[in-house]
Amino acid sequence: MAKKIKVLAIGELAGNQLSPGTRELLGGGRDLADSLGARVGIVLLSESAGKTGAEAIAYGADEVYQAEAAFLKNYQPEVYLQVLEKIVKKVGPEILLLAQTATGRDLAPRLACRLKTALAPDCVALAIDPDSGLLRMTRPVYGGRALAVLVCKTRPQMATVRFRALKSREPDPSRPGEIKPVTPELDQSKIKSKFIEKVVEEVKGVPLENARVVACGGRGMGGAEAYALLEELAQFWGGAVGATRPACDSGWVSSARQIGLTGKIVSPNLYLAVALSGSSQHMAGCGNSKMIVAINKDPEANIFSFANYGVVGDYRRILPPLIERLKQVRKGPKD
Amino acid sequence: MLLDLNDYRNDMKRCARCSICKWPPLAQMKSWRFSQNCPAISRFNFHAYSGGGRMALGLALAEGKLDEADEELSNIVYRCTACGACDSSCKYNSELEVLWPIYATRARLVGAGCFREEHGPIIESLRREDNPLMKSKSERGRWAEGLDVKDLSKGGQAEVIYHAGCLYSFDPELSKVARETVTLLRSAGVEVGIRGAQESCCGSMAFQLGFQGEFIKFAESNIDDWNALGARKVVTSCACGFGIMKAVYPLLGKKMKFEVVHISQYLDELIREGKLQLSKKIPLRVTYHDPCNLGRKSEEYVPWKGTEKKVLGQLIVREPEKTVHRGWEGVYDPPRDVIRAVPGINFVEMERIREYAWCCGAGGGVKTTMDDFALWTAGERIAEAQSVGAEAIVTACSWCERNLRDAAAAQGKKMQVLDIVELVKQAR
Amino acid sequence: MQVIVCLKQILDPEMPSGSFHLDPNRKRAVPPPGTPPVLSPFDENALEAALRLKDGQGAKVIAVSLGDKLARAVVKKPLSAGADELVLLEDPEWEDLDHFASARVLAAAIRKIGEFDLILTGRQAADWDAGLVGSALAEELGLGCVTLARKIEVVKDKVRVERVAPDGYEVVEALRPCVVTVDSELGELRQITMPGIFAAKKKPIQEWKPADLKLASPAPARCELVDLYLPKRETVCEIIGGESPEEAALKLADKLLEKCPA
Repeated sequence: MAKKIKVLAIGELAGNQLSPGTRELLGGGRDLADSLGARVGIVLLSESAGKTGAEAIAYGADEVYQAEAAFLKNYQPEVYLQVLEKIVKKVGPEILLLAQTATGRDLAPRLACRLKTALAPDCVALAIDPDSGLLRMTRPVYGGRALAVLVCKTRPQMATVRFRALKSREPDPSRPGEIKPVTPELDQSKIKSKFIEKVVEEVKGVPLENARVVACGGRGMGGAEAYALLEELAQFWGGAVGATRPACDSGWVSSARQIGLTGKIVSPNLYLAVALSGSSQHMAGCGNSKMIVAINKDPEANIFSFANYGVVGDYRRILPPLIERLKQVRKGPKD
Repeated sequence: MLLDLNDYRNDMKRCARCSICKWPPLAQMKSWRFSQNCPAISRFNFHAYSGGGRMALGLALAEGKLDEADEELSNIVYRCTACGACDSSCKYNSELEVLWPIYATRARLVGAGCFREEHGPIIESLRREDNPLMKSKSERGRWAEGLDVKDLSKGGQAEVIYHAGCLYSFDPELSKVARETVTLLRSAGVEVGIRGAQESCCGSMAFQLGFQGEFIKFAESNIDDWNALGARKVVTSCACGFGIMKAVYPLLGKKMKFEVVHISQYLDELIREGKLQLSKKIPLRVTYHDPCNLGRKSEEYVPWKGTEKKVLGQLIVREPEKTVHRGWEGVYDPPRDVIRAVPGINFVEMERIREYAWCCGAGGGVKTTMDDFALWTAGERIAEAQSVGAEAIVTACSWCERNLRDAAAAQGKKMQVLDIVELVKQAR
Repeated sequence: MQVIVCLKQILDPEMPSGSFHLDPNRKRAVPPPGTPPVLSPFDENALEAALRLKDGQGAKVIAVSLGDKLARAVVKKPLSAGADELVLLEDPEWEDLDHFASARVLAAAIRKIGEFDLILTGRQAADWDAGLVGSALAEELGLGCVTLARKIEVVKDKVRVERVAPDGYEVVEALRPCVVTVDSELGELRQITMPGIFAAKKKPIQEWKPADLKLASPAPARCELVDLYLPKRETVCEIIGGESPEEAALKLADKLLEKCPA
């Protein structure tokens, strides 16, 4: 007899593929389901699913609930909520996972209300308690100064998960799995908001939240011009440039690029912290980076207590030769 | 934690209501007219406004007998310039801490959210603009425009850094003092750097108002910046900055790789070394007003932690011994020596001087939010200066200068108020 | 037009790190002396959005705060900034409500206020950083909800919102009344002025208790906080030195190439 779907993820598409966060949900969800001896399901809503159902199975799903309709083209909360509420209620999972993205953070709280359950948003770790079998959801609170572990008393146990908190698996195209098409129904009278358009703004490099490498400059940069150096540095990895609040307040950088408690939260593989002190306001936005490299004039700067590698000195003398060296490596064969 | 009311319970309990906090010691009194030392008790004349009364309020708060949200409590707590005269007077007789429980009471109210609404904009301005004056931080370095001085916000290092302070940076009348300071230092051969638009408040105002958290951020970032800029000497004109850097910054436990010097000390040193020569005669009868933060409040504060034993039924013996701050170690002589070095000057002392000096009235946030009280207090000081026949008050603090000038103007009194730097500049 | 802004009083998220302590029994951060509570910065962004609507097309702005031991100097700030009225929902019973129970109390208060075109709040409260209450409030009231707004306009019967997206923004229209949660990109709350504070002293403040809202005791929290702790930092920083900054830079470059190739 087939095991029950206990872990259900709500996926997002990026173009005609699963979004990276969705792959991570499947990887992490797979781990949770394995320790429960259960199956993993995923819901995919789209205008046209293409091969994403098969992709989801390759990444760890056992069942794919695939709803396709023209009205699912763009994310619209009341549309998605109606469709999802029905699917989730029908599947009846123990655990429901979403990614902490612009869509996930919009959708999850309202879905939780409709399912009359709680929600642990922006989790950085999920684990099954071996004694109770319940989901322990760990999330940063107080701007990352503390970690809270939550256990949900209602069902499903629902969490949104921060990007890069879970690990996606290597895709296995031979994995068995089942795609279950769902016919979405829509009650137009319940739609209260409408997507009008998406405006893509010209940003150099990739969006901050998705960047694998982020170079961030603080108050010590001294002016807007200095950020060109960071652009050059980040470019080597196709990364993005951020700034601290004092730098944004001084008008050197647009506030859309602010990293920190009241700005963006990023968790890249490499975070290059240049001429910034590492205030707790700032670290709330980048403390989860896999590797932090600090360049600062002040050897006592707080950032060095977070950094894996550090250079003490004036960035004006360190960045140019560093960038030069990286460029050389890119151009010529390694010596 | 820096300011916890509970740390002062014993001091507060031991206040015997002797009221010595309200007066300079008898041996220091020269007349009945200028015999009081506490602006708040002199003005409001009710025990709660005195150092001792504030101890009683603090104790009641610590013991949970008073509600932090009490409106009248807040009125009393903030009608005080935190000048510390009560503390110096009390130490003449006993060894109680009086000023720090006053600070700690404020920190307690602030922590409970019971700060005064009018302090909100000051703190917000500190958070956004790095100054308590609601001025844009981008304009901070403007006072130095056109001066030949190294602006460290554009890179580089300097062994001597001049910290102008908020009021000298932004007050259109006083920023001249900052310019003259730099010119004087340069002419004495000092390679001085400034932080330009990146200079930030010393945090003194936040500290005095009880916003300890805000203060810590300013203090730490200043120490970090000065260390990183390679400073060996931080020179400031701002007495409030000097006082807090000397008395409180060391409590944060951060390594300060520089010494903090007030401009009056530095000028004194440069004059003695012959690097600054004063040649112009200034035939003026002047007196000197001791800024609280340059004087008694600049003594490094060493919080006492240990055990107290009662011997013979009443004597308190402390283990380890307590460092008692009597206000004796403040900067009193250097500014006086500088004045005396001015050719032709006629220097005369007022009645209340050094650690028993009467406050100008601007401190503790009073100038910004209760100007009438500040002006009244300054008026008292001007009257004292007039009583010794002074034509000018020389002082060494921007807030004192601002307040004394405002009071002289408002009360129609003929009294020149000079910064010590202005005096030296005139004598060059 | 009537705009309701919900603002939460929280511990200052920007308190110095040395001041941050946890009470292991209550599983809460301890309010430190010398650092006052503040309004959640995102809620201040929401207030700024409301005040811009008031400046632009005219609106009455009502601020609402919920909790226990609300510090008057903190929660009255919206009035000083330009809001017209303040509603305080203050009761020991309302201390530490979970997000869903908070939304229920706020919804009851908003129903009691009655008339409104728009409800604004921050994208999240900067203490628990959850970002649930705004959305839950919309569900309670059966309204549409747009999150992460960076610009809000009211056009006839619709609210037009620019919603922050990683690579730009989305334009969304919602029927009014609706709930909009505001992102920091919208901009900081305007600076409070002394005249603003004096003007605020004349503005009406309502204080409502559970009985005024005819609310039963709040439901128990749906989630249990089983642990709250300070994260341990085990990273030890390896300082890369050199005879000169240039040399250190080259060593750093090699380290980066090794650890994180392009």
